[in-house]
Amino acid sequence: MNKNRQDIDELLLLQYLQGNLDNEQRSEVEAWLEADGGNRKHLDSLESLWLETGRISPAPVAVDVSAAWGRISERIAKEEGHTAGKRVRMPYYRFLMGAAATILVLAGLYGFYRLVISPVKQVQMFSGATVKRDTLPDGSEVTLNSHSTLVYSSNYQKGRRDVKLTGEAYFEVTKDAAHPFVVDAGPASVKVLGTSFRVKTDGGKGIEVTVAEGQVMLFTVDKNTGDTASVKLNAGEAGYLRPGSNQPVLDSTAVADGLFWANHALDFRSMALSEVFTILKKHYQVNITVSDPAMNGCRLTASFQDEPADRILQVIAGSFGWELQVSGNEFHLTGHGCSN
Amino acid sequence: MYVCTIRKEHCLEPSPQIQNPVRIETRTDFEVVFKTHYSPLCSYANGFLKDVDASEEVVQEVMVRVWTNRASLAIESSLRSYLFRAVRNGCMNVKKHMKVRDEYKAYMEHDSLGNHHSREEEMIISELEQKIREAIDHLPMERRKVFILSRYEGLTYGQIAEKLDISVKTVENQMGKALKMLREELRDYLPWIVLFFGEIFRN
Repeated sequence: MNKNRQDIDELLLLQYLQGNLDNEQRSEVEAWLEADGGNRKHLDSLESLWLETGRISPAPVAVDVSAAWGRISERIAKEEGHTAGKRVRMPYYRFLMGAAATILVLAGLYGFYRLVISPVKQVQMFSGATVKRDTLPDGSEVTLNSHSTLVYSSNYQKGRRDVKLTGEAYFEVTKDAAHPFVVDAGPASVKVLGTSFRVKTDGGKGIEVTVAEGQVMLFTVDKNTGDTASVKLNAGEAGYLRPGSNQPVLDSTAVADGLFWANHALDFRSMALSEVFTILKKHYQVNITVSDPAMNGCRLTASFQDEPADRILQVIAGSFGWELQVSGNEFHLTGHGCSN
Repeated sequence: MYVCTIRKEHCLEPSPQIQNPVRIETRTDFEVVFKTHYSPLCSYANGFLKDVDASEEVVQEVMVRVWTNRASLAIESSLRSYLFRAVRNGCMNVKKHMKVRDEYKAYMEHDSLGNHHSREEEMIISELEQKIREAIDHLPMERRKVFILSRYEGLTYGQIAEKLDISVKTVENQMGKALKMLREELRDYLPWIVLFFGEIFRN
């Protein structure tokens, strides 16, 4: 039997700690423990090693870091090779860098403020000059329009799905009936369980909400009385809250191109073609003419996503039985009023 | 600021290396960042995906993006928290494709009970945990696999032998060596743990 500390089998000790030994083996270990005070310490350190390694969560994985690094450095070398000669510097590049740096410094100061002063940490997303798409901790997708900010707190996943929006965003909310998703848009808030919708905090009508799918509730809470006022909005509907007002309003015709910036979706609901053409001209830089002014008054109900202008005009021509002529960005429709 | 479940002593100051925001300018900077975070990020991803290969893929995608966007990268608090968040988002996207939301939900519920690291904690792990992770990473590959399968997946030596296609004797041998190496490497960190646990577990 081993009396020497160096020679004892680590596995035997481990099994002793786990109570997996038969009587004979156990008394062997116990005799070893009695033999030297240092042996007890040895067992203690093994025990603490076993306990402490067990606390690590999530569990470690066996990955080959150098092999992974090899793959990555090869990959980035290849990608660098492709772009190295193509980089174009804009004249205002430096200005943009300066502006970006300023924003980063401000963001840093804000982060410091949140970290030191606020008890609950907040995570901030801001889009800068571009449209930004990201996933929230609960799996919901958010598309943030330019110059917009979304803030959520670090206890977001513990049953609370509250976000605060300044600017404009399109949300595709993961269904979770037990945990409502609430967008704080300043004076009004929007509450949903799982749906897609857009919120704009500084729209022409005040706070604007457009629903792409599902149902949402637009509500306000009076800070003094605690009274709430709300409207329910269904898919295709819009709602708004005028500045200074406390009463949200339902607008059964959603803005047809309200979501265009986020997903290139157009949703026309019994809309006069004159208005449809205005929207198409705005987003596609096309020119549309008709052979008969009466055609402008025909009403269209159709929705499109990610379609080029010529496809949309083909659909329009097809549904009214008109003829379409295309030359570059010029579209001409020939027909007589509305066939249906 | 640190949430400690059992012992205050665990909440050592995070080492400056992982706390400070890092700016990546050169290839060498990137290599350091990659090698420091790769393994813990894979472990984090694997917590969501339960698939080591898929986890590595997510982490690599995030890393490539970090390199590509290095000029504009100085996001919020630190690079470390950015990496963890990006990996989490990556995992959520993968999970969406895998359509195993229920499992994710279970994870979240489990998470909110405080059994796992909460969001605050995942960014700031204790120095001890970091050391243990490093020590495990320093084990030779086969030994590391044996130790992880035994300690974290609760497999018997027989099951491990079958899974890795080696003999039970080799498994035992590797396990013994792993314990020895880990103890050696963590020697300076373990003694004070004994003060807390030595008595409790002998009763």
